[in-house]
Amino acid sequence: MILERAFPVSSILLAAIGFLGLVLTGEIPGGLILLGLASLVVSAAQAMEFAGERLARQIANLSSATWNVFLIAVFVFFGADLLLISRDILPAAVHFLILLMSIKLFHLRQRKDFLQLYAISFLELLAAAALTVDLWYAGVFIAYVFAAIWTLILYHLRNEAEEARAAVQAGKELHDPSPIPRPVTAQFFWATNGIAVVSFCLTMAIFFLIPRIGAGFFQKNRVDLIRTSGFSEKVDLGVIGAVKLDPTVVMRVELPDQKAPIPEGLYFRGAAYDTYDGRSWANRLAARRLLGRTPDGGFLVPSELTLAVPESAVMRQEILIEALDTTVLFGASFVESVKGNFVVVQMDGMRGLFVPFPTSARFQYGVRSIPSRLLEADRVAPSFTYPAIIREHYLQLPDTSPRVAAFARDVTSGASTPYGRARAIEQHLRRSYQYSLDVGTTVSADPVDDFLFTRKTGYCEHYATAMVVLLRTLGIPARLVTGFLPGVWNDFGNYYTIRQQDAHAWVEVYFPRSGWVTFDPTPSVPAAVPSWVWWNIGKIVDSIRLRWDRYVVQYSFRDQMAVAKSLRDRSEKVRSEVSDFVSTVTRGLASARAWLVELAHAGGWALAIGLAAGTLVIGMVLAVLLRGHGRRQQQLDPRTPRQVAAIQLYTRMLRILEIRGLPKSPGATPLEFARQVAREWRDAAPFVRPLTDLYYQVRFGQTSLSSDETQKVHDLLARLRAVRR
Amino acid sequence: MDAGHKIQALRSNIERVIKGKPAVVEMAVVALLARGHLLIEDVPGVGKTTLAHSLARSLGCSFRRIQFTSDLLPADILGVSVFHQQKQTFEFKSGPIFAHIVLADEINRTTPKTQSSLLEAMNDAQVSVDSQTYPLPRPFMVIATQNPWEYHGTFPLPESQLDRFMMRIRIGYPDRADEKKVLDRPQLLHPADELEPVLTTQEVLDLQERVEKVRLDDSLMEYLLAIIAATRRSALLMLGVSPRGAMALHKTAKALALVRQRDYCLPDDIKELAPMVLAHRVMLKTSQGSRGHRSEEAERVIQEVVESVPVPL
Repeated sequence: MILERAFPVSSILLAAIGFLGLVLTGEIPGGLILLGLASLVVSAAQAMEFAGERLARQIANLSSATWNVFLIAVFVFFGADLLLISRDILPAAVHFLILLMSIKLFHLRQRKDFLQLYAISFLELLAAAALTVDLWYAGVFIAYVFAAIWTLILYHLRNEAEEARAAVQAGKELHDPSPIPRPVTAQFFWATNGIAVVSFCLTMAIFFLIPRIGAGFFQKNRVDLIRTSGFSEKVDLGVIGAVKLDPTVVMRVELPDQKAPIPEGLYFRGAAYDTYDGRSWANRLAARRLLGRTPDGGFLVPSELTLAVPESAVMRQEILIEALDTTVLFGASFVESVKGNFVVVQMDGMRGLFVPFPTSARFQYGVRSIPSRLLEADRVAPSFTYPAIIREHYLQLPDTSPRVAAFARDVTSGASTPYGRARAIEQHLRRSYQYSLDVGTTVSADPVDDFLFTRKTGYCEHYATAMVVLLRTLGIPARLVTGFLPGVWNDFGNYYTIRQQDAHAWVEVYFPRSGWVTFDPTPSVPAAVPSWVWWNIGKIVDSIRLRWDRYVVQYSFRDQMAVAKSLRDRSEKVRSEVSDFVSTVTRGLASARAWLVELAHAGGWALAIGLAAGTLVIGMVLAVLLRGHGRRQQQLDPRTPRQVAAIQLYTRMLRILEIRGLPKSPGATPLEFARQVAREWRDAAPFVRPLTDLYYQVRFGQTSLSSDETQKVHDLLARLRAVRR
Repeated sequence: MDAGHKIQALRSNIERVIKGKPAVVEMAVVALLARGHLLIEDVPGVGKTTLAHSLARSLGCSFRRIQFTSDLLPADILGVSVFHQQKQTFEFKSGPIFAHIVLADEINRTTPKTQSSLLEAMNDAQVSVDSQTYPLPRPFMVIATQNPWEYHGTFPLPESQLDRFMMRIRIGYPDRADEKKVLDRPQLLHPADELEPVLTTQEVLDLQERVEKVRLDDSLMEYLLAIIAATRRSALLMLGVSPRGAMALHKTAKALALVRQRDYCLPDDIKELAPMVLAHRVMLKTSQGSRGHRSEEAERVIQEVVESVPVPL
């Protein structure tokens, strides 16, 4: 492709990538998308010299007054947009940008038009960054970097070509005024891509190295929060069923100490409820208090028990949570401390953790959890006396039919301890009831009764509610907990992807010495496994998305400190490895030498000479190849750096003389010009002639100047500059 | 003795005879080193023949002079096959062209037929007679003279013939002091006969070899080609310079660089040589005036054309 065509095409491509970034945010109205698209297509067709040229030319031929009217109209529209339609600076500015781009695309004539188009495309890219944190932005950004580098290099080449042409035209009419169009070859394409890769890597390095000071200054204000159910203060029975088919990702949980999924018993606890009125669950202990700080900046959840816990029992989690409409902080039961970019963390009376406001963007936090453990004393104790506060809150029952209590006694007849009874109920519900999301929409007067005796099918909320009610009729304190199951383990990134459909409800039972212990009466449902390939591709994409969030969107000063620390640790390791390697190599060389000496002694001179000759041949082949390479490069630009330097110095002399009114005509040779100077300005002759001679030597003789001569050249130039005419 | 000294010795040797014309001598040496033939065009009596003679004498080469007249036949130049009575075969009797340096004096006085018999000799350094080809000695150089102001009984050289000459030079009248030196010289012998050879034929061949190694920068090659292209576009010329002309300019530029003790060409070399190398190869649009006038006019046009081409920096 020739330069004259490649340059506008690449410029339009740049604008198109910026525009694509905006379109993908989904914040652009359809009309503007169509307008931008149409202007891109038409100008691209014109640049490629396909169809549409006539239309484009007609548009381009509109008078400048018309363009001014257009511009004013666009500006007025921007004002109206800002004040009346969008009422926000970011969307209004984005609409304004797209209109400006469309106008510019039809008006690409001079150098400044192209520069303005680049500025617009860059602003589009920035605006897209403010409007999204999604993974596709990485693709758009990389494409933009590549296109920008092509375009800027082509822009530079075109400028040079134009200047050269202008110089030639100013010089002579007889000389062919149009220089040979320089083809933009595949070699050029790959070379610029190489530059793009290098600069992209540099950008990455800068991105990760420069200390973060904050984020989100230019973020969009409106966020579409994901609606969750089951975590408010009052939860109607059946709300979780409504989201059980929703595949929206809610959070991703990394377990830094785990390389494989935990087989079972992992629940990400959200909120807990103590009061059931027959229809819905409510939290009567919703009063929250602030958590105290740990020394390392986390928030400590006060333990109800004073048992010492070994560090190995602690389960660490890094949770990346989407922007949800709830303020609950999730964590594996039971959270011991949370650490994150929070001002305060609150806790209610049932160890539910909260932040004060819903966050407007996805964020990340770390959690330490200690799984519940049932002490042996609690397992075997035939009965307990519970504290008053426990009895008051966790034995509450709505009006239930007597057959529920009878049923409870019936089910637990074989058990002699509270623990045995709880287990018996859990097992019975798991075995004898059918899991189904299809429970109809009619609200029965007593859902528990309905579930236990009539319908005998239901989902987690029904099971859990039934279990709590059954336990309470037996005098065992229990509560309902909502949260999430671990979801799907992603073995490409070693984390859990948790979706809306993983929302769950389960039961916690109180034991005086062990505290609250988790029970789950819901039978586990085998998930429908999609086809293997798509399943895995989905997992790969999701793990890339997690890293994008983790290392780009959420990348913080804290991460930088962590990286620095790990680098230091690693460098220690590398240093010791290198010293090991060096000693190995030295030993190897010594033994190779010993081998050669032995070989020579054994009469293997021929072999030794053969080895030496082989080395020599390889060296020569390499030298020839390298020389060939050098020669090929010389063909690309026939002038050596020395010659270019000589030309620059000589041009400097010409400029000095031109200022003094002695311009060199293009047809005069340097020597002729030196003679002319000698005739017309005798004082300059002692400087011009030696300069010309030195120039000739280096330029055409390909000798190099000694340092003395270089000094002399600069000296002569300085003295020439000082001569008055 | 290195190339520079040898060339210097050759030049000063010739200048002992050709007084006050160093530039002309220089160009004759350039034509020799560029393996070209030289056309000297001037009025009678300015030393055309003497120049050719001195050059030949200085080289220790064989030298033959052919006086061209209207009744000269090709066989008189090339040679002839003669029947040998005893051997019963034809034998080739070589003509005067079989010499290192051949002076074709007043070449425009002979008929086109005879003129063109020189073509093969000049182009390929060989002669074909009766379907037999005979190589000419190396180095081989034709130095032709003609008087452009003469009109009657002349046959102007056709373009194809002119194109074979690498350069066309004029000698011009000497200035007063130089003319006095010429007159002061003892007139017993032809002055050129006094000269002793300073170079052997082998040394000449070596120098010709050296010319090939002179550096011509790519930018100068472009410059040269731009000049050639400009002659083909010029509004004043009916016919521009042939590729043979471009080759001649290329070669002579290198030879001139060597003669001036350089191993690289300058734009000045090309610019200075252009009128002498190119002017006789172009055809002017206006063809009034005598041949002499037209030669001068052509040189002026070439100079203008060259001046119009930007010199590469």
